[in-house]
Amino acid sequence: MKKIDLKAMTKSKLLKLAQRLGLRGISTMNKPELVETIRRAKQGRAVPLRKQVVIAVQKVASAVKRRAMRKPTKAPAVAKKTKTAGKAPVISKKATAVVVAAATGQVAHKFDVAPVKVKQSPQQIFQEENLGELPDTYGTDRLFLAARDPHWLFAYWDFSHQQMADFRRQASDGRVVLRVFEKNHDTPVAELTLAHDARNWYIPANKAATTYSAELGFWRHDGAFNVISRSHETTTPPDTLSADTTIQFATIPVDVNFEELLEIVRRYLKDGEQLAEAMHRLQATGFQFPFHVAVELGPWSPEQAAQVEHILSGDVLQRVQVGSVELTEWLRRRLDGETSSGMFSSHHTPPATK
Amino acid sequence: MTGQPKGYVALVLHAHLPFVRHPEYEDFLEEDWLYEAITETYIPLIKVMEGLVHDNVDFRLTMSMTPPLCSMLLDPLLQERYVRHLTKLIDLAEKEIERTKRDKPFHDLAWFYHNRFHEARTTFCDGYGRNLVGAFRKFQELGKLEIITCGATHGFLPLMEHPECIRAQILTARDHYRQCFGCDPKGIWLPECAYAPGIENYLAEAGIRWFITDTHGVMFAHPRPRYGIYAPIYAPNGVAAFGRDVESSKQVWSAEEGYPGDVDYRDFYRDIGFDLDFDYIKPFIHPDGIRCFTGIKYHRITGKSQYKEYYVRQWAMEKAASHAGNFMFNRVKQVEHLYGALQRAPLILAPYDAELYGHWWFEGPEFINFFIRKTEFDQQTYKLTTPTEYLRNFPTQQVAQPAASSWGHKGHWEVWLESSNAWIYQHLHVAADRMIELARQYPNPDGLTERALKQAARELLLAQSSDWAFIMKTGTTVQYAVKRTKDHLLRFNRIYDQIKAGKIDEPWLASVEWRDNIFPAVNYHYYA
Repeated sequence: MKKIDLKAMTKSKLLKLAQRLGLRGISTMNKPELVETIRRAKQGRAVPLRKQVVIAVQKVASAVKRRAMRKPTKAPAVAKKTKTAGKAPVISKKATAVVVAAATGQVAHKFDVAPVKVKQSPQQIFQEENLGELPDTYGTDRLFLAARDPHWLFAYWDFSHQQMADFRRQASDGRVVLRVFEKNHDTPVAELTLAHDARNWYIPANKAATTYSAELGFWRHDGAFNVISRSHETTTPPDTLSADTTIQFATIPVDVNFEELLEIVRRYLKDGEQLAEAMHRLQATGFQFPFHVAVELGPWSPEQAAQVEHILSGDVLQRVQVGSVELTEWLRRRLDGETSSGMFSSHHTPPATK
Repeated sequence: MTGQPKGYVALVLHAHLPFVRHPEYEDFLEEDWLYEAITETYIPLIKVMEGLVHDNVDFRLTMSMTPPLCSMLLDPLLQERYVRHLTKLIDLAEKEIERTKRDKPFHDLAWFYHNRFHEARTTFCDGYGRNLVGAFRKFQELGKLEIITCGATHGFLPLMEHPECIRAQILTARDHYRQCFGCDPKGIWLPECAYAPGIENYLAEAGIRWFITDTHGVMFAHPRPRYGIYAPIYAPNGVAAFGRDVESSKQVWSAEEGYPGDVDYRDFYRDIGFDLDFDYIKPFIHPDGIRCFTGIKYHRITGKSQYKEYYVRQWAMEKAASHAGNFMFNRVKQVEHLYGALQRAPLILAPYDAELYGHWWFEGPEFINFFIRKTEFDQQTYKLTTPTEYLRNFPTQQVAQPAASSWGHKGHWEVWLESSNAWIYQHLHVAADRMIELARQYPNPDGLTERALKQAARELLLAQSSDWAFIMKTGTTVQYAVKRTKDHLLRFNRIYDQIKAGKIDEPWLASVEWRDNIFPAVNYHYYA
């Protein structure tokens, strides 16, 4: 069979043919690759065309171990980069490979388990199955807003370039604007002009534990603001102990399922009240449950309260922002300091048998 | 133990690996993550528990075993490949016994590894018929181990725009847990400990009674928790939240007090995969000649310089025992101090990545073993417990709304939402729009469409793994993480287009089902 005949076949026929020939790795191939692989197989060289190249490229490109993935060290350069990204509103178009490489180059190098000799070839990696590329935009008109932490909001918007250009044309001042509002306030806390290639934005939020929303639009010639899209509300997380020291206890047996518990309290539920709240209220007023309910605890003396607060705020709050991942990284940095030279030396010195 | 303990300690190990399974390749480097974790973490933990049960040591341990990890542990292809991997290691150890015969310390270590790998193979193949999920399940059924679930694919829940996606992550995980463990999960490890108010509603729907937050998730609850992180709180809907204890985490991992960096412990980096002559080691590294870790490591940390001395197993074991004693002593002090101040028995909840024990800190499983035994025999101040057992004994707790939090750097979403990975969310959200649209449009599909809908759900779930965003940020195996994100999204989009056009490419769909075979029974109606 000549190559030209293969080319005329449909991909599914080629796949079946390849299966009959006992070829491996074929499901990931596009049609020209299949044709070439089958042709080679028929010539007695049953080497899947792409397999070796692709595996080599892929393996080298990602030749690091899971320890590196799960327990990363944050190299100073990365930390700095992150900080910058946090402090100034940063336009990150799509995260381009360049940005990623710049931000993480040091770390990536650190965890290479072998010297990288083969040039990475993204085309070869990403063309598997011929899935193509993700679109830049979908034009869903979505404005997404999320509180990233107590003091930063993140927004992205999904409009095509054509849509954005149209908005700018219609605007009295040629600008598309993102306005951020604190809940129940009419004046925006931020009003940002979107750069032409901006796709998302980090916005500083003054207040923790506060609900925000955003709208994207432009100023019309008649002076009114034309809203194109509104985000959902998002609430910044609290960053300190609650000032509310009300104490409400509830007895909720873990082996009685929620449906049964709800059944007991259902007809006493107040509007908007949830299960544990209702159980607290009913238990505090002596309502009989079919299980033992602990006696409500009385208030503490000011001395007791102060002592507990001291333990909690002293010992705990100081380190409260230290995530486990960070603790791990912290340890890892230390271990790296002790061992990385050995690690690297094994890359660069000629292998020697003991 | 006489009388009531003054406090409780719950060790929680979060066992998770992203779903990495590539049947299309004969060898795939990232699959080693699983094989290494089996040899170095899961089997050693199983051996520790076997020993404790054998010696009649009563213990309580909690582990989250994520659905992707359980799926991989139950997958025949990966089981087969693990046996192949282990057999190669045994061959290598045999060669090493021969090579080192004139060098006693190394020769002894070669035998040590040889026996260890043999034992792993016996445990894996003969002890549990290749089914490690069944092994862990056994200890749960004995009442020693509490196994909890996680998000279906470890998706980062607070950044999901659609409640349907959060619900599908939780309910799919619950369903999978039932298949693996034959009962319902009482607790959940929220992926990355990431909690935002509202998530508890889906937990309640799944019958899940408790979850874990980082310290500030409970500390900053509203109203203020009277006992801080030393007792759980009930969210208004009745699901309990347990806060992570900082002190015990720090003791294990911190720079000043951390144990794993001790000079007598095994060095992680010095591995014969890198140290030995290329031609000698070539059959045991990657077929493409890429040097990699073999797991045979002969050196101890020794000190700060690159000079390393050989590993002495006995010294390392003595150090692990001494560290476990120190850890126990510190818990006793902590519990006594808190008991005095709170006038109530505190609960110390100490969660860790399971893979840090054994894989990263080689002696970690033995540390746990010593710690549990010392807790049982050397003190009477505190008792080990699991969160469910604790709630059973102490059902009366404060009602408060937990605060949004994660266990990542800085405590919120920044690790998973920053310049390297923010681009993924637009695509994930559109895929979610489309999945919901499909689920609503096709409540009763024909056979082929149903297959496509299920595969669409799998692709969306796999794209949502927080591991990909995490890897993009931390800068290692970035290409792989980007590729996985894009591949799953692109496969999803193609399936969506084909369903909408009524032209499903069955051979291609079959190949995608064959590759991304997680959750055979996935229920896409959760998205409706």
